Amino acid sequence: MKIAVVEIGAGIVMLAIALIALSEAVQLPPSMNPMDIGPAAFPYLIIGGIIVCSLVLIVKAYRKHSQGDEEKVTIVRANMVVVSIVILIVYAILIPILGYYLSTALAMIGLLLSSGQKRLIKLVFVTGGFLLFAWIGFENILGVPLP
Amino acid sequence: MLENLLLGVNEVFQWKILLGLLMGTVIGYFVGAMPGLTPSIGIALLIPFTFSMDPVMAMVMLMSLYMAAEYGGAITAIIINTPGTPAAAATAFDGYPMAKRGEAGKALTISIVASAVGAVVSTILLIFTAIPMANWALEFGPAEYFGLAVFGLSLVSSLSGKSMSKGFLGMLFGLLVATIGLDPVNGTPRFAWNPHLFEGIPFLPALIGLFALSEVFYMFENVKDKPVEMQKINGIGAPVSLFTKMWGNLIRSSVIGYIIGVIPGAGATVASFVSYNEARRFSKNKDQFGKGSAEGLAACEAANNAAVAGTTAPLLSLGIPGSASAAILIGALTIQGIQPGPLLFTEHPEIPYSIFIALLLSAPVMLVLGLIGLRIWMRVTLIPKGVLAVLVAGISLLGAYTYSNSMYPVWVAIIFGIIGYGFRKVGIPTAPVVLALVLGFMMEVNFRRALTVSGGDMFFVFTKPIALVLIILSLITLFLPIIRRTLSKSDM
Repeated sequence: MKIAVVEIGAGIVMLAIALIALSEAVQLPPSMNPMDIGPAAFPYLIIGGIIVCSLVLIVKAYRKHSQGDEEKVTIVRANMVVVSIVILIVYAILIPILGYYLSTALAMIGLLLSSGQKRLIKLVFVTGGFLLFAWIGFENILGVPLP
Repeated sequence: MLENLLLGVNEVFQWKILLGLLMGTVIGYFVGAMPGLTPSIGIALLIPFTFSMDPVMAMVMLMSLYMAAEYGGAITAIIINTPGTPAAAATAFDGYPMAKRGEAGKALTISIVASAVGAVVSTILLIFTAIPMANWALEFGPAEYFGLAVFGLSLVSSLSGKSMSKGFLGMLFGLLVATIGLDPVNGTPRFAWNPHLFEGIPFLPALIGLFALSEVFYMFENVKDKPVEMQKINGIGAPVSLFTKMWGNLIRSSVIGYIIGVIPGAGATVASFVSYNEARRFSKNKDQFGKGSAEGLAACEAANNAAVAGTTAPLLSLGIPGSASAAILIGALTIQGIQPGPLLFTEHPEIPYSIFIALLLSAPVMLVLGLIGLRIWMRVTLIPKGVLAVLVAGISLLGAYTYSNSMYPVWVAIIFGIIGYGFRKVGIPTAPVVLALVLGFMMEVNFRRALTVSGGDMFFVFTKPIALVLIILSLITLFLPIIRRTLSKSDM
C-alpha cells in the first residue's frame, strides 16, 4: 500500500482518538482551587496538539499522493503477523481458563508451527525449556504465583 | 565523595551483586549480538526479573546489560556486516572489511578493548560530572522541574527521524496516555472507562509492548529469511603496540562519546558517527577509513560505550531520560520505589555510587567475557528467527503478568505491541511515546504546583531564571532541527 494512503489513514485514526478524548475532557469538572488550571487543561492542550499534527500529516500525505509519490509500506508476510496477533489474544483469554502452563504450551506450539518450525524435537525442546524456565525462574526463585 | 564511592564498592563487592553483574553482561552480549534486539528491548525484558530484587542488585544488572548490549552489536557488525544495535552501524564500516580480509579476530579484539576503554574513561567522567550536576539541581523547585520536563520533551525533535509531525504525534499520543487515571493534583478520574484505568496505564507493560512485542511481530514477518553467511575467525588478539599507538584516539573518542551521551536525545549512534569522523580527521591514514581501519573501528566502539555512561548522568542527577533506554531505566527505578534526581544522591547514595562502581567493573568483565565467549556470541545469530520471536513473546507476556500478578498488564502489553507495530509501519517513532510516558506526569504536576505557589501567575517561568533558561533551551532544541531542515531544503 502507498505510504501516503497509510499516512492519511493514520491521521484520521489519530483525529478520531483526539475527538473521543475531547468528548470526555469537556465533561471533566473545573478545579475547586482558583489558582489551579484543573484536570481538563492538560488534556485540552494535548488534544489540540494531536488535532494540529494529524491535520499536518494528512495534508502532507495528500500532497505526496497528488505528486505521484510511489513509496510503499510493505508487510512481507502479513498473514504471519495477523496469525501471531490472534494467537497472542487467544492466549491471553485462555490463561485464566486453562492456567498459565497449558495455555503457554498451546500458544508456543501454535506460534512455532505457524512460523514454520515443524520438527517435533524443536517444538518439545523450545516449549518445554521455556516452561521449565518460567517454573524455576519465576514461580520458585522470584516467587511469582502463576495462574 | 570518596566515602560514598567506598560505600558503592562495599555494595557491589558481594557475591550476589557480582553474579548479577556477570549475568547482566552475558544477557547484554546476547541481546546486542542478535540483530533486532536492541539494548532498550533487553532492559525492558529484564526489568520483570528485578521486581523482587534489592534496588542495587537490580540497577547493577540492568546497567551491565546496557553496557554489554551496546558492545554486543559490534560482533555481528564485524562478522556478518549486520549491526546488532543501531550504534554499531559505524562499526561495520571498518570492522567488516577487516573480517573479509581474514582479520575478524583482530577486529573483534580491537572493538572489545576500545569498548572497555570507553567504559572506564566515561565512568570516571560520569563520577566527576554527575555529582556536581545533582548538587546544582538540589535547589530546584516545581518551576525548574517543569522546565526540565519541557526540556526533556523537546528532545522529540532529535528522536523524530525523517518526519517531525510524526515524532510530535508519537509524543502527544504518549502524553495523552499519561493523562489516563486519577488527576495527580485533585484526584478526578480522567479517561478511566474501566476500574483498572484509575491507576493509569502501567508504564512497564506499555513499553514491553511498544518495544519487545512490536519487534516480535516484525520478526514473524521475516521468519523464513535464511541466516547470513559468517566470516571465519582464525585467531583472537591484536598486538599491544596497536593500542599504544591509538591511545589519543581512544581517549578522544571516549570523551566525545560521553559528552554526546550527556546531551539528551543524541545517544550512542550519534556518538559513534561523530567520533568516527573525528578519528578520520585526526588520522594520518585517512584513505584507510572504510577499508578496514583499526583507528576507525576503535573510535566508534569507544564512543558508543562511553555514551552509555553519558546517558546515565542526566538520568541520575536530574531524573530526565536522554534516550529510550534511559527512560526505561527510570521506569525500573520508579518500580523499585526510588525517584531518580538530585535527591537520589542524598537519600539513596548506595544506588548512584553502586552504578558508578558497577560501570567501572563492567569494563574488565566485558573484556574477559567478550574474548572468551566470542564464538558463542557469534552463534547467537544462528538461532532461527521464529524460535527467537516465540521466546521473546513468551518472556514479554510473562514479564507483563509479573508486574501486578494479574492479566490487566498482559492486555496492556498486547495492545501496546499492536500500537507499536502499527506506529513503526506508518513511520511514527516509538521513542517519543516512551519519553512522554515518563515526563508527562512530571510536567503536569510541576506546572500546576508552580502555578499554585506563584498564586496563579501563568508567567511564573519569567520569575525563575533556571526555569526560563531551560524553556529557552527547549525552544532552541525544538526549533533548531526544523530551521536546519528548512535551510537545507532552500539550499537545494
